[in-house]
This record gives sequence, structure tokens and C-alpha cells, in this order.
Amino acid sequence: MNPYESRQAKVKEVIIETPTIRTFTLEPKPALSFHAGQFIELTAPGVGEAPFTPSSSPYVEESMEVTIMKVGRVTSKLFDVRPGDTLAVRGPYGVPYETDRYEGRHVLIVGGGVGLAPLRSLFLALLHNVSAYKKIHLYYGARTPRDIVYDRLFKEWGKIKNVEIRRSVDVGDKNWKEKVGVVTVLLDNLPFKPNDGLAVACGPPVMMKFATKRLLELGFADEDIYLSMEKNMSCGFGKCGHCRLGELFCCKDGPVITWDRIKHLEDPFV
Amino acid sequence: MRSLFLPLASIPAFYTQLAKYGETYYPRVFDRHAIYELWREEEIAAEELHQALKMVRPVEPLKEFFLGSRERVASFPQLFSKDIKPKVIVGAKDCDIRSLIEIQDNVYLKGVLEDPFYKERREKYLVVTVDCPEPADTCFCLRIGGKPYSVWGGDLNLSFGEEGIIVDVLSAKGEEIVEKMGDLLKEVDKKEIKKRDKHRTDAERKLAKVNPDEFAPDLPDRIEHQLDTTFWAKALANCVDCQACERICSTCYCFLLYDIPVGKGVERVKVLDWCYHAAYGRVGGGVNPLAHFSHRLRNRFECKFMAFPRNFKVSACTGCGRCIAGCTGKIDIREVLRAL
Repeated sequence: MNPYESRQAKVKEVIIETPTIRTFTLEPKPALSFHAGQFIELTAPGVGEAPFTPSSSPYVEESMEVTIMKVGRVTSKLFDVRPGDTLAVRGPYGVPYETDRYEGRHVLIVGGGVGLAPLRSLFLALLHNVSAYKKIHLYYGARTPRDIVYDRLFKEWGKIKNVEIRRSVDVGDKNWKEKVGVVTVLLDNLPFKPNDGLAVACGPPVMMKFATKRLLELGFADEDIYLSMEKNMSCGFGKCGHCRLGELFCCKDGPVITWDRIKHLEDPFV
Repeated sequence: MRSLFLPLASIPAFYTQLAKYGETYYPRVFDRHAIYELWREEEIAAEELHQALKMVRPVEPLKEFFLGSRERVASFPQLFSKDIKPKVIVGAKDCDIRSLIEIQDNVYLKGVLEDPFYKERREKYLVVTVDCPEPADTCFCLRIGGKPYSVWGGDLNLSFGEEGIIVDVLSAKGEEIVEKMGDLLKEVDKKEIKKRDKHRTDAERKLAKVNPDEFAPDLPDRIEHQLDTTFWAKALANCVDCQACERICSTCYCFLLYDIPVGKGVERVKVLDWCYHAAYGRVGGGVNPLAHFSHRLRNRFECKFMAFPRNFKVSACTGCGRCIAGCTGKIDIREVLRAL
């Protein structure tokens, strides 16, 4: 087996989520199954690869969705992709969310911006067995109402029993009736005791830093704060060295890492 | 392990025999340094070859043969295959063979996936290590778990006796090779072994004299807690960012994958990468956790002397001293480690 080799993946659909974020439905051949929290390396033909965590349910095996924000060279090229084009993927890599540990507890999901993409995969995986958890709390913050990812889906998610949704935007508009402020404002008045639950967070580094700080203040245990760490992951399986974080490698030991494993580092979010 | 004797005059014939196994690289002196050259059965005096074997580690690190600075590893959508042929590398010192076994093997052969190209080279290549009777002032293997001679890890080891060379057979692959050498190798005399042992003791003594002090046993903790950027800035005050230390390092293992469009497809290339590069840690969107050079310097020490020992119980440094010898700014890694 050659771990550097990718498999072809046909683009079935491209959904425009926001002006800078799109969701691509891919059909890898052969199918590529993954667990929530694992990531893939997606190739933009002729430009290169970048790591992305699928945003779809891991229970759907024939296709996967990847939600991507246009930020650099690879993602800009991916925005030129149309349905019917062929990309390439390899993986999955990394350690899945420990969802067994979540059973019988409150699961607090805190997402910022496009950071909701990998959390959506976890959320859909948890919905698969929703009664196993005390309640799923999906808290999401975006910059403005037009930057909200999956706005098309929130209404439907809000109707699901055993799911609580809170949303905020940094800057609202005249139609915005929900919270205004950074995502941490949603953590006020938690409807459960932190020792009865755990938190999972993903978003830009500064959001992760302050969300972690707030979660700790609220009393979440270090090992109950699951953080998606962003590093330059080139190979995806712990060889190339780029994504080292202290003694860990984000690609093989993460990318989701609990706070107790990185809290000794000077500033893991930089 | 069994030991045999190679008369000095037979070194060229020995190389010719090795070359039957595969392309054979041997050390040759160029401008007072040993470098690897391909054995072409030229007429080179045995004494010249003997002197080259005695030199301190060759300029090129051993990993150059096993990793290569640039190689194609996949293609898309067309299929890709690689034909790796056997090779023989003569002249690796203990610091170099340990860089393969203790560092590169841990990275490339362990963990969730293996690197198939590295693995195949490790299986097919024959390494003939050589004692290091004349260590340089830049060498510090003795202070970092090594010796100026090798008794394990390679397939054969060459050491220096009274009148010739002692060939220790260290692996099944090595045994297979010497069996085909007929009467080229003789029985070894006790006096040769005695002389060899004296060379070894002398080399150790020299290394101890050059490096009188041990490093602190808690280097990982010292690095973890050395967060003062002025310490690192001071340590690299003379650095001109030439990256020679990383390019010549036998234990640095980082690489980068990138794709090159070829016709209607893509070729994936793996190139060795260096953590002193400003873009080494940069992620999509431009955030760079290692934007400042002092962070990158600390990152290098953290990788070699904190993360690696904690993950694999061994430092990612074998004391070969190439980084000291190659540094434009005369920075000595030993001094940085002692100042921690």
C-alpha cells in the first residue's frame, strides 16, 4: 500500500453556503469511509493537497461532503471546481471523536465560522443515536448573519428532540433576532452542569483560545474539552513533522485533542 | 557475530565483491573531507582507500541514500510503481547508523502507516559501518549515547587492526555477502583484535577530552520551560539563516508533499523540508505559528531534544557534529544545550 497515493473522487454537487464557503459532495472510488473527527487530504488538481475534515455523516458511505472556506492557493482552485469534475482524496487520517465517552452525558458543541464543518459531522453522527446522550447543545457563532454556514439546515436541526441550538453573530443586522456577540456569549447560563457533560470546540485559533478559557472557568474538566487543532498537516500520518504540537502530532494524535494533553504548552492555539 | 580479516591490499577487491550485490558507495577523501563515491573498479591505491575509511563521518549524512532530497511518490490518475535496486554503502559511522535505526526507522517504519519506499530501501540496502578512530573536535557522539565504533545496526563493520582490517559480520545479509567472498577474507589474529581495541579506547579518550561534560539529563524539561525568546535570539545571534545545519543533519526527517502537473495528470513529489523555512508551519489562510526565527530555532531543539525523547526514548541527535562543522555563524549546538 502506498500511503501517498490518492483515489479519484467525482464532484457530485457544489453548494454555496456563504460568499466564501462552499460544500462539495464527493464520490470517492473506491468509497472512503471515515469516523467523525477524522480528516482527509483533498487534492486540487495541479495545485496540491490540503487537509479537511468531512462535514457529512460518517454513516453515509457512498459519498462525503466537505465544507471549504476560500483562504489560500488550494482552496481557491477548489472554488473553480464544478459538478462532474474529478478531484482526488486520500485518508482518512487521525483519531475519531471518542463518542463512547459522550454517552449518558450532555454534549456541548461550540463552533465558530467554518469550524462548524467538522462539528457537523460529529453532530450528525450523534443524531444517529440521539437518545444515548442527555442532550446535544449546538452553539454556533459567525461574524455576520450572511456568514452563517448551513443556515439552510439550522431550522430542521432545531426541531429535533433532545437538541438545543444557540447562535450568535459578532455584528447583526435588522433581521437578526438571536444573540449578538462572540461565540463565548452563548456559554452564559448553560442549561446543564459542566460536570454532567463535555465540550467540543472548533473554530479560528482566537475563538478556540477564548472558548477554552471560558469552558475552564465554567468548570469543564480538562479531559472533557475536545479541541480541533489547526496545524500544517502535509502527509497526514505522522511522518512529515510539520504538525507537531509539543510531543503530539496533530495528524496522528488529533486533529481533535483534549485540553489536558496540550495545556502545558506555551500557547497551543498560535 | 563472527570476525574476519581483510588485508589492506585487498580493500579494492573487497569493494569489487560488494559491488556484485549492488551499486557500491565508498568513502573517498576530497579536500580533507570524506565523501561518498560510486565504486567503478578504478585503480585506486589500497592505502588511499584505507585512509579514507579512517576519516571521520563522510560529509553527506547516511539518510541521503534512504530518503533522498527529492523523490516521486505517487501519480494521478495514472498508476505509479517504483523500482528500487540494491545498494551498498560503505563508510557510515556509529552516529550515522544510529541516525537510521533510532531516528529514521522510528519515524518512517513505526506508527499508523509505513513509508513503503524507505522500508524497501532498508530491506535492500547493505550498510557497512566503519570504526571512527580519529574523531573530530566537532564530534560528541559519546555524550549522546553513541561510541566512535559500531557493534550493531549495520550489516558488516570494518575496524582497524595492526596490519589490516577486521570485518565483523553483524547481520544475516552481511553473512550472505561474506560467504560469497571466498578466500578474500581470512581468519583474524588476536593481535589484530587487541590493536583494534586500543584504537577504540583511544578514540573514546579523545572524545571525552574534547567533550568533558555530560549534558543535563533533564534536557526535555529544560527546553520545555525555556520560553524566554531572548535566550533563543541570543543563541542564534550569529545565524545567517543558511540552513546548512538542517540540510546536513543526519536525523532531521521532515518532508513536504507537493503536486506537479504532468500532461493530463499529476505527479506527487516528496521533498525534504527544513523547519527553519519561514513557511514551514504556515497553514491555509496564512497563520504561521513559527513566524519568528527564534520560535523556529526553539522548535528545532524542541523536536530533537524534547518531543523525540518523550516519544521514542532517544534524542533525535547522534552527535555527528555536522551542524557544527557546517555552520556559517560558528554556532555550536553543544553550547546551546549546555546553556539551557
